[in-house]
Amino acid sequence: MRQYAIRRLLMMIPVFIGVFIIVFGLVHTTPGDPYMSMLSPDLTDADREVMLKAIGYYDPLPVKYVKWVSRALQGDLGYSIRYKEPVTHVISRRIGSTLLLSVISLILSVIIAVPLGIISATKQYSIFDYIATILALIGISIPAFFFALSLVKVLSFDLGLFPISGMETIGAGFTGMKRFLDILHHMMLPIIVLTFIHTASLMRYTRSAMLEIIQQDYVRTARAKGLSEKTVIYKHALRNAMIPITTLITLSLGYLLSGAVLTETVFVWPGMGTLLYQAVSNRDYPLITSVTLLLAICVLFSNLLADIIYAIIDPRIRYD
Amino acid sequence: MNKKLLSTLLIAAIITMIFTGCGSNQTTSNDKNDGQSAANNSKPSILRMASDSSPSGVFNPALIQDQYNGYITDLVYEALVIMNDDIQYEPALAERWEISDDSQSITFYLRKNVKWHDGKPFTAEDVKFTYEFIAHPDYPGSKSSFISAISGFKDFNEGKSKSLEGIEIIDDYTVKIKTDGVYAPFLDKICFQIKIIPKHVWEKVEVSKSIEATDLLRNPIGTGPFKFKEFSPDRYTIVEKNEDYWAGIPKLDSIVIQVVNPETVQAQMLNGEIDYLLLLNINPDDMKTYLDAGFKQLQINFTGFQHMAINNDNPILGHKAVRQAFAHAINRQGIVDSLLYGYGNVANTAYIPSFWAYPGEDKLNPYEYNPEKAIEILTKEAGWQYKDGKMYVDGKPLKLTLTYPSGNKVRELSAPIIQENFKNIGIELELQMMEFPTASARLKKGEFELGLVGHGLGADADARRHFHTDSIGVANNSSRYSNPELDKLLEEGVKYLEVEKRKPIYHEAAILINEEMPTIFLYNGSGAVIMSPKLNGVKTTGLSTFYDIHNWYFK
Repeated sequence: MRQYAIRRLLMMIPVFIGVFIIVFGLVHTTPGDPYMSMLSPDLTDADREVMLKAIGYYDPLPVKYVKWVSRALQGDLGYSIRYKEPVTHVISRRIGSTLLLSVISLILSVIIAVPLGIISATKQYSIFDYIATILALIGISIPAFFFALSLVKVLSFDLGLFPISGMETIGAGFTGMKRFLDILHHMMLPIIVLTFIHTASLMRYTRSAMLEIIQQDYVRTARAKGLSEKTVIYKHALRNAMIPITTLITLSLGYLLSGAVLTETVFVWPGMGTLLYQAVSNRDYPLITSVTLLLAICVLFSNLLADIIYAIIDPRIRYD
Repeated sequence: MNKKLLSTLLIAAIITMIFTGCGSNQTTSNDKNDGQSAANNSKPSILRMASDSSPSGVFNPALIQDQYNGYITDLVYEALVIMNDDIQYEPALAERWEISDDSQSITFYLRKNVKWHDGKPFTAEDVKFTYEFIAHPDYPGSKSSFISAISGFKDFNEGKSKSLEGIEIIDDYTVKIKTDGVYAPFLDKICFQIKIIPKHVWEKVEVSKSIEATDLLRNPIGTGPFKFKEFSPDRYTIVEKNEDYWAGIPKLDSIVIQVVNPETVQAQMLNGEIDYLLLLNINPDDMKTYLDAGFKQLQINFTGFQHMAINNDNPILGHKAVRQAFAHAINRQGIVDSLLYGYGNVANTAYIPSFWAYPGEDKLNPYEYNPEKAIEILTKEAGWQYKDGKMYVDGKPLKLTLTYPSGNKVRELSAPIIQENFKNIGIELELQMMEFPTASARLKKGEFELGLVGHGLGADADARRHFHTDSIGVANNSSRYSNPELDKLLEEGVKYLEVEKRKPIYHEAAILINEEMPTIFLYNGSGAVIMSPKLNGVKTTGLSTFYDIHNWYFK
């Protein structure tokens, strides 16, 4: 097992380098430059060139790459062109607000989706199953921004229950408990959107995993043995169904940091999603590459984790 | 059994959380109001402004790169002069100025009662420092071309001299600025556009490192009506009134500029979360909603034009007859009517009708919408062939590509109209929308056939950046147009300081531009400020967003 984990860890290195070279190349060969969207009509090209030279824009791609990698290896991710401060500062300020949304919505969706999926599967073709399936299909197919805007319209604008955007009441100067409640209030809508969307796909997945298991022979055997339906479902079937579900949940850990670009943008939530969007539209090269690097690491590690967990919880799997 | 209990508890906890969340927030907002009234007797007047993008935190007016940082620096800093709502210059940090007889230098008499926000006095040293900061060889910003007309700029900029020769401190409160030759946009570029920064703050960092001095950049010290208070990137910026402001204490207590989502900002306005919103494009449905809800509006004219750039380097397109025919072919009045809803007009030259350089409607060819006439010009003058509803050039059917950036809604929507109009004269137009930086890069490099773009002129009539031969590929002459006659007029126009002397030159230029159609002018759009019915005294213009802001008030 340990050997497997180490081997798996080493395999990540070339994958990581590959991902990184591709991203680095794509980012730097996109047309445009960081000062292209500056709106001053009076900016001359000579001035622009001086500014671009200062940030190393004219360096050949391999030179940029070597410069960046050698600095990154020393823990220096560079200086954000847009924010004029170290990339690590910019990112660390956003991670918290994104995790706040993504962790809570992930937990909520697991709590909601897994039981619903199981019930749906055990009561296949019941009214409950139909309603759950329809809701899940809506959740899967509805575009996040549309759902978010509809919620804003109904819950915030018509009913006035929640603030329309932002993370807290600006200028109110709340502290302690009041601030906590204020943030909680602002969080509700984005959490509802993210949870609904996660729940939908996770529930569908749970349902089909469960259905597949229920139809297997050993479940019939268990029933034939005279075990109660509860024991059959929760003790025998669920355990096996949980294997793919756990994998799916573990894999989604990798996306916790990336934030939901659309949802964050709609609610002007100051997280990683809006940051990445801003970075790309401003061609903030150090920031784009660093954020991507971070996300790649997360995804790779969650994959690793999923593989290891898989090996642990499924005794049929042997890696050596 | 345990697990079941656990999940029930969790669900119960979540439900409580949701309800306590809503419930307590109502009480917190009540508390807030109580707190305010207790502290201040009357509610502090906070102006909440919407901004669709966040400033990046570069709050040094000499180093700013976009209007979002500009909003903040406009509130915190001031220039020697300011432009009022009649497009006239008014005293700001200089209480008066004198133009020399040869029109090459201006002596500024500075106000004596001005203090920086940290309490230090403002003097002529700060003025000199600001201009030397921008002229410095290592200056990392984008404003040096504004002041390059100042005498001795080149030597100082190349490190050959120790001080900027054209700036002379006569005494603590008198400073004389001299240019090489007469520089027409003197008051605009050198005075109005350059906000003065404090010497005692910025001399502490090397000029080359100033752009990385995050601490100083994010704690700006100015002389303006509002002091910087707090900045949270991608969320909001707060400024509060400057009690020592030379023109009197501002009537607003503080201003919150918050980042909003353009899709939901209307709901925020109607909910009373936002008091002031600057719209660059106007949608009549939105406008009606605002007006029905009792909001006030103020129309804003921008000095600039939206146009369809035409690549004059292209052997097929680079002819006057082609450009004139295209102007006739596009239903520009239709675009103004259907997309701008009256907030704008068809453009036929570089200047907007309310600007002094505009020669008058009767002197300009209106290029009315007329596809037949367009076809006639193309076949008779450009030598193209029109057969069975198709336009042929050298025997081949003509197919063109229209490149344009996404983002500006009106511009995006005008593209298919133009495509339809071109179909009527037998030309197939392929639409190519791309994100802004990509489209700009293509237009600049001349890698396009037709392109939609907007250009601003600022406060001065000087249009060399848009139409002069030297501006091809380096500035805004996207159409790559070159005409020695126009070059001469535009050069002549900047040789005088007095508007009266410049007027005839620019009128002539405007008429020539109208006749030549160096680029296909489309429309002049105007925007609007939507504001709370309680907000009074607002004098926003397209060139001076916060003019007279210390007199804005809530009633």
